[in-house]
Amino acid sequence: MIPIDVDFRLNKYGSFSTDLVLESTDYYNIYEYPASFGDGKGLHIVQKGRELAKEVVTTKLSEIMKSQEIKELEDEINDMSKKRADELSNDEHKMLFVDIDDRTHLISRIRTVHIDFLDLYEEVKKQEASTIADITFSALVEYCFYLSSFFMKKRFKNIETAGDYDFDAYMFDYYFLYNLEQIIPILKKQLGVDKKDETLLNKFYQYFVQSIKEQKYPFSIDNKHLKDLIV
Amino acid sequence: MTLYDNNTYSFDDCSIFNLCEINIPNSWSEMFGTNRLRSYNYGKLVRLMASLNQQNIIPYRFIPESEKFNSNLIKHANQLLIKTKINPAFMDLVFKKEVIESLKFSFKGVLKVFNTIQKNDNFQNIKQFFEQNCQVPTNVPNNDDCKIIGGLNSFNCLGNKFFISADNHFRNNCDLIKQEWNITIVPEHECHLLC
Repeated sequence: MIPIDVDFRLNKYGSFSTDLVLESTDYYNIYEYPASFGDGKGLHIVQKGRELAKEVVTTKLSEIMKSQEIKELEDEINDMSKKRADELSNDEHKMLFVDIDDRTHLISRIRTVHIDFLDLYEEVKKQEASTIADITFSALVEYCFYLSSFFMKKRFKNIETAGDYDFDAYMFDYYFLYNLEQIIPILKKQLGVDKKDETLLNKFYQYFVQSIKEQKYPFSIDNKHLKDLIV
Repeated sequence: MTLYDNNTYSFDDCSIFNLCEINIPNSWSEMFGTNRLRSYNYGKLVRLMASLNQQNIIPYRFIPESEKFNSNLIKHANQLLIKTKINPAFMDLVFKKEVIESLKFSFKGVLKVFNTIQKNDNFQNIKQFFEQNCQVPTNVPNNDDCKIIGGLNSFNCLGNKFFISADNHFRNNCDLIKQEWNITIVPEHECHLLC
């Protein structure tokens, strides 16, 4: 596992970085290898990189993923590292896409999600959060509720009359909507347990709240004008 | 006062919390007029830490962490927020979570400059001493406080031992602690007087 910090963008063709220049760092070395298109470049992790990776796994990843999940992630990265570039761009990127629905179905999904989160948020407001796991749970439900509200009342407000609606331009909306749907049964289950699963909740909190930055998506706690999007 | 490298300067976890800076995310920073939250004694604690660092004196903290670490974390985050007298106005649960996460992250960073002293689990005689000598029963330190005193008492040191804390259990018993174990309790708000 080579930890690198790259600002990826996302569009309908997949993820990309226009300013990615690979150079050797303290954490990895660049090596060249002969390829059909000329000289290929690869990365070799060095000792300092291994130490950083170990530290990240023990201090950060372990807070959001269980050991089995970390192992599965490592296996997936290893499998992907064995694929050719065209296999990655053609096949793997397709897996990232969420089905693009017709408008009626999309509106119906947004409404259903919003109502589910409205119910969950009402329940959360009745409870006192006294542990870190409780606070994470409450914060996650609150964030998801306002995100679903943002979808319904702002982002997709005029979807029915918007003319040629650019579905492809809203990939993050689809990701978030899809994952909001996925998380609802998990949160409902957590609502009823005394001792909440902190690692599980941290993972979803990290995904919804921390994974996105202002320059990529407006509904972000890094956006100075977020309060204008709270409806 | 002057700092000496043969003295031991140790800190209560609560004072280490007070050494932490909390980042306020952009969406709330305008409301708070800043993107940083700091405790009231932050400046004094930083001054002491800078002086210790300047003289290559490594400060100490106590391990293992209290079982109440998470509740102390929440308590400190709440106290910092209450002192601002500002209501986050929107998504207050998310804001609280962010403050706690930021405090936890900062705390872990601050810990890197500290060496550690093991708390002493054989604290019964210390507890008993306080129970017999404290005139006000509520002044009797809790078990974890007694483990800290036991740990610092057994710690080898050529000079004097100082313990910086904002906890009233220590401050109210500073004379007893000095007399019995020769440990100087330094109230957090006076810690800058050490340098």
